[in-house]
Amino acid sequence: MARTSAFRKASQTEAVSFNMTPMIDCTFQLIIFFILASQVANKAYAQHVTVPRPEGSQAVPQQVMPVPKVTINVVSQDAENRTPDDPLDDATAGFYEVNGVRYDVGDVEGLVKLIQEKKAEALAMKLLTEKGEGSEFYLEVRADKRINWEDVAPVIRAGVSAGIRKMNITALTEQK
Amino acid sequence: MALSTKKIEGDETIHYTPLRKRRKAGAVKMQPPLTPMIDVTFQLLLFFILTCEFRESEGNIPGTLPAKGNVVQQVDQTPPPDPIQIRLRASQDRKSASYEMTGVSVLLGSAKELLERLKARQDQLGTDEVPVVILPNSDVPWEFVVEAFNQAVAARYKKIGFAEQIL
Repeated sequence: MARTSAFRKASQTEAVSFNMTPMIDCTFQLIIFFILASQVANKAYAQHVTVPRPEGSQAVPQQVMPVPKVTINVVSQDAENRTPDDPLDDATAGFYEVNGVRYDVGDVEGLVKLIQEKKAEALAMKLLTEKGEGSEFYLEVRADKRINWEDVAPVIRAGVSAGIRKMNITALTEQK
Repeated sequence: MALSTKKIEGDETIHYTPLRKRRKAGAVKMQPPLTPMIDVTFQLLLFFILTCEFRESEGNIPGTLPAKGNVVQQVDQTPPPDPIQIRLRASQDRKSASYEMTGVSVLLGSAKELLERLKARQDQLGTDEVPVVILPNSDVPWEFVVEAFNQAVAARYKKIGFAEQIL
C-alpha cells in the first residue's frame, strides 16, 4: 500500500513555478524611467520656443518658484519649421501665447487686461492675498532666444502697466 | 500524394504513456505563456517613447519691475551718469553681440568680460544699489538681452532694468 502511494506521488506532475520577478522589475523600471524623464505637458508653455541659456545661468528651477503667475510666451511663426539652433528667416515675433490663446504682437492693452484678469483669478482662488505674505503676482516672460528685443519689450511694458512688481525671465538652467 | 501520406515525426497524439516510461522521462517541463507579458511591456515602451518629450530644464531668472511709469524708460542717446548703462548691439550675422558699458572705453565681446567689468564697478563704487539699465538695440536677439541681464544678476546688482532706445 505504502509502495503504491510513493509510486503515485513520484508519477504526479511537479508544479513548475516560473520566476516572473525580473520581468516585472523590468516593466516597472521602464515605467519609472519614462515618468521621470518625460515632462507633463503644460499648456502654459508654448511649443517651439527655444529658451536661451546664458553663460553661468542664474535661472532657478521652476519647481521652487512661486505659483501665482502669468506666463507670456513670445513665439516666432518661423520657429515651427526650425531646429533650436537654426537661425530664423524672420526674427520678429509671430504672436504672444498665454495658456494656448494667441495675442497680436504689440497688443499691450490686450496683455494688460489679461494680466489683470489672471491676478484677479489668483486672488479669488486665494493663491495670493491683497497685502502681506504671498501678495506677489509674477509675470513670466518666456521668449524665443532668436526674436528681436523690440517684440519682447511690449510684454514687459504691459506688466508694468498692469501694476506687476515681480518678473521672471525664463532661461535654461546651468548645465551640470 | 506522397506528401499527404508522409508521417510527421512527433505529430502523433499520445493518449497513454506507461507509468514506467513516465517515471523515466522525469518531471514534465511546462512553459507558461510569456507572450502577454512581453506584449504589455512593448506596449508601454512604445507608448512612452511616442508620448514623451525630452526637454532641457527650464528655470527663471528673478527680476523686479518699477512701481510707476514704464519699465522701458524713454531715454535719449546721452545716458545719465549715475546708473550703469549697458548698450547692446548685434553683429551682422546675429550670432554674437557686443556690450558697451558706461565708463568702459572698449566694447565687450563676451558675457564673461561683462561680468568681470560689472563686478569691478561694484567693488569700485562699494554698493550694489546702483541701478543697471540694459539698453538693447531693437534688432538685438532676446538671447543677448537675457545674457546681459543674467550677468548683472550674477554680479549681485539689486536694481536691474530695461530701456528702449529712441531713434
